[in-house]
Amino acid sequence: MAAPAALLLVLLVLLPSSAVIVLSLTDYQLGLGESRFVGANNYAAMLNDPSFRQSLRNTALYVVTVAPLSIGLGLIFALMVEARITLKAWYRTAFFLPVTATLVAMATAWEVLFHPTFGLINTVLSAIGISKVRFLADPDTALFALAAIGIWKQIGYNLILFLAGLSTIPKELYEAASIDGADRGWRKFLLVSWPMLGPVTLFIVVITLIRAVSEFETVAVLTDGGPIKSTSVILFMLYEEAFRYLKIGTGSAIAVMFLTCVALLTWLQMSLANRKVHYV
Amino acid sequence: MRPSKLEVRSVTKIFGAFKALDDITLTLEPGELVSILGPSGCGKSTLLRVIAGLDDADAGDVLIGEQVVGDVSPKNRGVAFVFQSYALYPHLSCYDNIAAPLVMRELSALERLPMVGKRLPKSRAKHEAIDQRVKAVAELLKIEPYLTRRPSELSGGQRQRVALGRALIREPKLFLLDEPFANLDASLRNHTRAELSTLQKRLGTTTVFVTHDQTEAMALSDRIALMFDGAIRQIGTPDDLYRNPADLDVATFLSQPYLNVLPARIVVSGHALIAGQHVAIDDAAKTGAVGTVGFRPEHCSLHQRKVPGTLAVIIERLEHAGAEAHVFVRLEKSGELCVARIPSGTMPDWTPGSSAWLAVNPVEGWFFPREARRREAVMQSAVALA
Amino acid sequence: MSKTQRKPTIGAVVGNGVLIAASLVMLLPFIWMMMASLAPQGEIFSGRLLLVPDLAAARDNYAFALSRAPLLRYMLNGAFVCLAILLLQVLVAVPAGYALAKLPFRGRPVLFALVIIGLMIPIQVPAIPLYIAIANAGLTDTYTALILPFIISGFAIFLFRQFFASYPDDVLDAARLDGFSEFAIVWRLILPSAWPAVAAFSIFSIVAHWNDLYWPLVVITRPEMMTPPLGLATFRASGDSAGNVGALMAGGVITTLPLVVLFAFAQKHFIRGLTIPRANTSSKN
Repeated sequence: MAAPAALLLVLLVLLPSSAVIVLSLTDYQLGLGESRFVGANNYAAMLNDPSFRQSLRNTALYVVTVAPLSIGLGLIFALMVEARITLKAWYRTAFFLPVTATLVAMATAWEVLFHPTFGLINTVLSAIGISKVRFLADPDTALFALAAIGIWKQIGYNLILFLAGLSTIPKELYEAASIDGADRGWRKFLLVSWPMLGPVTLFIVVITLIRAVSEFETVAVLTDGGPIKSTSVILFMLYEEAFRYLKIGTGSAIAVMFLTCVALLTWLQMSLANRKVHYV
Repeated sequence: MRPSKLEVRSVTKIFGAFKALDDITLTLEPGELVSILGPSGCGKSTLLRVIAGLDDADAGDVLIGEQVVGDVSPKNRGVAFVFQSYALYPHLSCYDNIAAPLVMRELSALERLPMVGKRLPKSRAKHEAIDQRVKAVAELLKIEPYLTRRPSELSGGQRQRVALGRALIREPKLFLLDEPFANLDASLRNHTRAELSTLQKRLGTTTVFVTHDQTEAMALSDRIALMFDGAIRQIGTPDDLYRNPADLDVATFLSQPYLNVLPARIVVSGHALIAGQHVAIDDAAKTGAVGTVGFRPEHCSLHQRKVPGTLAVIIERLEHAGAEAHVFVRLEKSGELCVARIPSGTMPDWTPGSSAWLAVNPVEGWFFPREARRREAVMQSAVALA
Repeated sequence: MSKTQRKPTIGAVVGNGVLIAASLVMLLPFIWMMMASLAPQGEIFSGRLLLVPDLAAARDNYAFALSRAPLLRYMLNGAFVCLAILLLQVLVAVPAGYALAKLPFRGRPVLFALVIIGLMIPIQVPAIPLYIAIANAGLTDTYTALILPFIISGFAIFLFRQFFASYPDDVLDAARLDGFSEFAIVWRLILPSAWPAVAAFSIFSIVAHWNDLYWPLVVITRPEMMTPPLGLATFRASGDSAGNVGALMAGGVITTLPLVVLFAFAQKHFIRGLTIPRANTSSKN
């Protein structure tokens, strides 16, 4: 019954993932037959490579921009939607649509909105007296423009998960709170909603972090890592090294780093989820 | 705290096309414990929620301690509510659960902060006062040993006490309990029930207690209000309701597991014609009235020989019920089924298939006229009370 | 409940106002893409899009996009690849999920651990060795290359295992006594009962693979093998679309439309499907 699945898991996941670790210890280059074992050289070179360090910084900056904003706004909007009686379905649809839409296509739409001369955003900015910004072409703003797209894409997902979390909170708990003196606003939120959202919040934080760390598409489509490497994030660098310059050893080393990062986040979630945030 | 009076005046609550509460009027004297008893869906929980302010009445008023509370939010009504599910805050320790009503009310947002809160001026005293009250309640309910635990680490009975503690700590004007024992097993339920009764008497807090369990209501209440279909059918002491049910629904509900019900016509005051036989029923007053005679299995007896004024029956089967047994019999004339209760030791006297005669205790039988479902006798006693 | 109605509705007005504004921002790129695809070049470059579509310009934009980029071919590729992946994933994962849930066998813990590992590893990690293998086998620019790495889904196995675990054992035993083989049990008893899980997973899988750019970018270079995101990205980067924003937006609309339409019709399923990872990771393994 499970033999095909086991075989495929080994062939398509376990073996290649282990091979990546082995490859990261060689100087293998695609197209060149010979390769040598070079130990941790790739890792050392990588850590000394200014462009890799830059891509780490870019990734970190992207993550710390996207994660708090998409989680915070997702929560705020979820609480607002939850409190509404009418239009709930419309809000869900509007917020969730970006989650399903093809990001490559939507990125091109954003590019038009960000356009320095005829983009809507600059039209609005100049209308209120702010000089035009070359969002995607300016190294100071490009990463944040991409982060804005990332936030736009992630808010709806977080909002839906928060809504799902809110809907599982027993009504009696709110009623008990309203009798105990926490009948609305902050008090209600702090006494009931927020603590009860613990498990779903933990999940949202981790999945948002993982998705932000894995950002690739907007960079590949809109900026190609530029201008002057200002949007080169870790996965983009991995793609470039491995598949554009065919430096398999270096690319593999980045892949191993990336895997470590994701595994760490997942482990964090699993261990916290089983101890900290489940009350029942 | 001086016990408060509770008045419910002509309260009506409508959900869509469904009248959940239909012109309910009910008064609780200070310190009284009244059960709202009824089958599920009869509106008893809705009534409790309207009193608490969790739901709003569509018409009518609720008065707590002579004050109309229609526009008062639940937290300011001075009521404490114990939910069937207990509704404990799962992330808080028992201590914090019990303290929550005081913390929410008496401390400012700043003072509620962990660590920092206690160091603010004056707030230490407040925290200490709360601490003392939590400890006092914990001692009263004997839950000191597990104050630091979370609800999920407690048994059902312990959780129930914590929920009670959270209700007690504010010394409320009114206790509202919504089936608080429903999630406990039978032996624990009896024990907790007794404790609650003692506690309530001691504190003297006016209490409304919602339950679908007639035994529970009988055991606890000063008075019982029996509800059907959103309306109160009868209010009275447990004994009053048990001995003097206002109508057939009330009689059936308070006669578990069986009530014998036979169609009857009154021939002359005190005598009903049942299945062609004259039977003495003291309750049957109005000559010519058509309706139903009801009596409990313990209020009739079986005879092996014909006695005047008894109904000829055939024994169908016997059911052992511990000290006593139920004998199911079928009226020879009309084919109706009746149940009689006998000491289980006498079971061998009755063989299925054999003939017997069923005698109804005239004092304990009731007559329910068909046209007016309420019994006149009860109507009169109600008038006399008012 | 009338609680909320009794209070002044200022809160509701403000809340709805903020939410409507926010949801319009969420929809802005969709609206803009649609409007730009229906507008003539000059209007787009003026920065002031009119709400009234220009039919002639719209025809030009869509015709240009469809003639310069084989968008329909991309869509067919995308549909075929997505369906093939989904079918194979389900075919492999359902028996495996059943075995993990209901059959005691040696190595079950090992397999389960493998599934969890598979669940966690993103495609970018095994991508390099997989690419080398595919390149060495001469399979680049083939459907096989697009499909192969995804036919095993640790996520699908895990999801189905969780779902099957609640299937009553008594029914399985009854079926065995009635002469069902384990194979028949899986396909004729378990699978029909699991359609909500299959539906949710289908949405998850289709959305993921229809929208994926990374892997097609790695293994595909020939235009006739491209999937919609890769095709659109290529169209955008090519000289053909340079300056022709209307046509690029038309391409975007065409690419986005299938999932958006599907979403409109099966919104509940979409939301369920795309949020199932949550249901999973929070249930204890």
